[in-house]
Amino acid sequence: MSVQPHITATVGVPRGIFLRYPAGNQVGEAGKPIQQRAILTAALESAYSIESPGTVIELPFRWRRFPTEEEPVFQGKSSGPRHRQAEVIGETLDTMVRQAREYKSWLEGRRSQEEASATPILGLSGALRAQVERVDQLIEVLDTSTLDQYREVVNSIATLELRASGKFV
Amino acid sequence: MPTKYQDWELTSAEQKKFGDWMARIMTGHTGTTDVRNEHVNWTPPAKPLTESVVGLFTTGGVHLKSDTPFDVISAHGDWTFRTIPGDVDTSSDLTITHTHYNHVDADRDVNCMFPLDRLRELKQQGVIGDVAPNAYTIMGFNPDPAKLIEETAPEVARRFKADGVDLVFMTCG
Repeated sequence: MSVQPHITATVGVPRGIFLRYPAGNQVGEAGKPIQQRAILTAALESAYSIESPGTVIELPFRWRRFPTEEEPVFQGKSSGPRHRQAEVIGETLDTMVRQAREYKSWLEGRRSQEEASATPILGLSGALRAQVERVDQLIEVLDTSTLDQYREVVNSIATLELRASGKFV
Repeated sequence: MPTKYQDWELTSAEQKKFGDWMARIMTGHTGTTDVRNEHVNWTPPAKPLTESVVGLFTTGGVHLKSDTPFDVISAHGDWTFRTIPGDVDTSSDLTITHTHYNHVDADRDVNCMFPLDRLRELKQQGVIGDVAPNAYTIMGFNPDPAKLIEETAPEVARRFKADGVDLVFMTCG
């Protein structure tokens, strides 16, 4: 299970499972057993779908955007630093992805409407199809490289702060 | 659907990231060795998942509170391993000793990195055959992995085999 697939792939493993989650969260968010079970089950099933050594599979789950709503239940206490400014970026990113998905649904609905119309606007249906693809690309960028950058910046600073503060060993 | 990458192709950005990371470690830690697997082992699953005994291994520094903590002071790391009984109470008996990743979440719920409770539930649900009698752990900071390769890895593999494990789920810190 890896959150840094370039390292895993460089070192070489028989079966690699990549999850776009922070280090320390390879099996999901804390206190969310439904999410953790889904990730663990998908990873175990990959042992059967991977057919040759050196294969890395990326799971479709996204940090803080797992499809099931779940109130976290914790066993212990958190001692982590909080960066409010960074959290706002994360929340904004979540909102942008959600709004882009909503916009994509709206465009798809508009296209169905246009195709059923007795008086279609010239070229509109094709344009709507092309723009749906673009919105898909936008979601992909937000949900992969943008999310990766955000996650790694936040986590690297938090790790150094925690180590220096002696709050964890 | 999961995306499958055959022999993960590193982008130039990823190659640079890996190179910079290794250079930083090599500067900061005398004796760092860049070791990669020349040959990747391959063992097809012998049984379906529903009949398999699943073992758990992590480099995330989890260990019993009653056990000797990993050495996070030595610049040469710590290649030793710890054993965690399969019936341990994850909410009270475990702790994490590792200073190279943010384990604040795992301190609150170790299952987000070391999913022993989730494995037990998957057994109850019939997704897996059984949970291995023991889990094994290390602390992943090992600038020179020689002892890890020569001593720890073969011994942990031998123990998993002796425990009747069919499949090992591995997580990093």
